[in-house]
Amino acid sequence: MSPDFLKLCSENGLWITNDSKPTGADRRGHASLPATLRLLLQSSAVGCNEGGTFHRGMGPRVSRSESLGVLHLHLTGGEPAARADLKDLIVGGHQAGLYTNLITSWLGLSEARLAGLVKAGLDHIQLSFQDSRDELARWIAGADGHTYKIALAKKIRQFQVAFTVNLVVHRQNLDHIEEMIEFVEQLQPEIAHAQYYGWALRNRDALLPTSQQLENCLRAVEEAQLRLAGKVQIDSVVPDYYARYPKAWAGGAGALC
Amino acid sequence: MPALSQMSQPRLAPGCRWGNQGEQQVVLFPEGMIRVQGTGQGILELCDVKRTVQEIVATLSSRYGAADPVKVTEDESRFLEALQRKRIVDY
Repeated sequence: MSPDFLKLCSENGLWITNDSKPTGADRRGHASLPATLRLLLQSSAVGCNEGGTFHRGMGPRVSRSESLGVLHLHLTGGEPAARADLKDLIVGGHQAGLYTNLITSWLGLSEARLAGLVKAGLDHIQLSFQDSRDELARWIAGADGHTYKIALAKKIRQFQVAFTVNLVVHRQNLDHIEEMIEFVEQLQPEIAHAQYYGWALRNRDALLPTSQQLENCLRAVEEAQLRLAGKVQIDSVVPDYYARYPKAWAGGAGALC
Repeated sequence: MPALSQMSQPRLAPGCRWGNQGEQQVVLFPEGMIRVQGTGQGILELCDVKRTVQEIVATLSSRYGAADPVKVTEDESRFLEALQRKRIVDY
């Protein structure tokens, strides 16, 4: 990993730590070790950037590559496209040999800017869709970006970049999961995720799927996985409420604190 | 899903690329990676769009002199089909 990349991360409040032997001390010094990567968008440093799009405690994502070493850089948030220096971060990650992932709502990401990011070395872009239906997507997102996202998604194949879709599922849309899978299929991503993340208790009544919905959904996903094998890979995440054990956040980020 | 034939020209699927972890060769892709070594690595390195399955078999058979080409073809096909299902290889 290049010193410049580390400096860039440090200046932007990003931490890369070696967590193979967590000490609780400042871990930035361990950054060049070929161990697990953990990269945090540290809230105090990024909160003042770009008009406060990143908020304190917003749940930065942790990227890790287990004991195999540093391999992936995940740029997420919040909305990483709100950062003016996004391209620099991608250049830094790319130069360090990392597989660079951008997880974005795409709002604030024009076609021209995307072209620049791909040129800078972006390997993968992930886009979230809240529904297949415009009205429901607008309702759950609280913003009108569905049509814009579809338009941009349809152009993504012009770019040399991997494309995946994150489909947000919940009680209000799981009854048309088949329709949503077909919607995603048309966008031709490499991987589609269907997942429920509604942590707050207040959300539970409105968003937590019923057990019947979950059962139907898992069956629909299984059928789609068979039908789309080799075309689109579909991963699904069972809500913790119905899982035997709660999953570790982002693969175990809680262990950092 | 396209069927694999002797004339297929396999390649890494979109979004997949080579990387390394020290001496270890890996293939990176969205949300993951695989470590490759030995004959698996040998096969994948020959998946360059230009070579056909037949040519890859011929290269491997000559590299491993004692290998039966029929067996090499079978093993290679199974390997490539498994990776195609995981969206790591296209042909």
